[in-house]
Amino acid sequence: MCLNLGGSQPVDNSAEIARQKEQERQSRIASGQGAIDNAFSIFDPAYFDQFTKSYTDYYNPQADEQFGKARQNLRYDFARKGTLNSTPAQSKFGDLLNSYSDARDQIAANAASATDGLRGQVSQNKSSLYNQNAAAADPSAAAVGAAGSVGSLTTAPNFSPLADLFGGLINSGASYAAGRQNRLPAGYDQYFQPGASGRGTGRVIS
Amino acid sequence: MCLDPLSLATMAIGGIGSAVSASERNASNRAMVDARNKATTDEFARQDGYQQQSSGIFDGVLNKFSGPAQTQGLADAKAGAGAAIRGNQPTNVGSILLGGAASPQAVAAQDNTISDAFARGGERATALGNLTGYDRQGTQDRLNLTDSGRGLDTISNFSQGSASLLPLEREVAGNNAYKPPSGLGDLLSFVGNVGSFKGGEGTLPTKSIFGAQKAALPALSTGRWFG
Repeated sequence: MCLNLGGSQPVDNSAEIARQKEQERQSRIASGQGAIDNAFSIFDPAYFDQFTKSYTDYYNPQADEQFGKARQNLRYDFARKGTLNSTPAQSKFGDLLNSYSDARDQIAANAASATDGLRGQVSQNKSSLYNQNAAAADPSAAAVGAAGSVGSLTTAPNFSPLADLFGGLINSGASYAAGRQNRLPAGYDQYFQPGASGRGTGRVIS
Repeated sequence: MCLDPLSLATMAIGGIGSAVSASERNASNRAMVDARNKATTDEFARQDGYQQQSSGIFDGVLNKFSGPAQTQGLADAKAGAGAAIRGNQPTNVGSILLGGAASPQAVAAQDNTISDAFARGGERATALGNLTGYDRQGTQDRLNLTDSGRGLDTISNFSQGSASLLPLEREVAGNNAYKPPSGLGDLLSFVGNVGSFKGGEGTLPTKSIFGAQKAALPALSTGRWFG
């Protein structure tokens, strides 16, 4: 038995509306993240491998060219002195090869480091877009931001050309060859050896 | 002291009316509390879901930092870095000898020089790969942390958004569960009061109500409860 004469009590559905709005917001965020993930799908291992290859493709020829010139200079230096077939020439060539190998190693290591840096940058950009997406909760805006960020990432970085790799080595090789050229004639060396034959005029005063 | 049956009956009706009103009030309060509790437990269930998702992400990244995973990851990083560096080593280094003027001894000496340089270069490339492998592993660790951080941030966002609705949901659930009194209790109480008044030989103010001729109702003190 109910004598309620005031009619049925009105139902407050504001919480239901708020919950629905929150679910819609979460759906928009999830959708926006899907758009971001889709935009960033180009940054797969093949993309970074290609970046690494591009890096080495830029620096390797510079090292190769410098090595070729250094080898040529080494050959000319020793050929001019007539000592091309000598052990010192081969020793210098060995040093040049080591430097060349180290230079190529360093290029590969730098390529890997640059690739790691790029991966980190991509990841940071993705995080920024996630944050912006959560703030905006607007998938379309997030997709636009993702496309813009992808465009900036694919812009070629500014890389400096290689410095002179073998200059010091070649100079020392030339100095060696010059020194050989200007050495004392045979037989004169004994006069300049310390303590040789007691001919020196100097005295050590204790 | 003696009460007539009518007075007793109407007093009992009044008592029942009060009991009905109290029962309805209690039932309404109970319904409001239950509704608020349900809103709270529903939110806790949602928060449990978020917590489980977060735990899944955290456990996943934590596993990547376990000893065996790190050891394996570092070994892979070293191997990968070493292979990449060795793969970039020069393979054709030419010669410093002049073609026709080189003696066989000089050619052999140069071959040894090149062979030794390649061997040493391979060793140094492997060593450099072992060194840079740590950097590569560190980068991978940071990327893993960034990935898990993104996932945790999203879940935290969802969790906070959901939790922020709880006060509203509790209030609204309580309000919607409120049951207004049916009026039966009040009616019975009224009947009981009127009957008791009549039992006390009071006069019902029917004319004062409908005809507005007698303004004042008799005071309760005029009843003869104690005969």
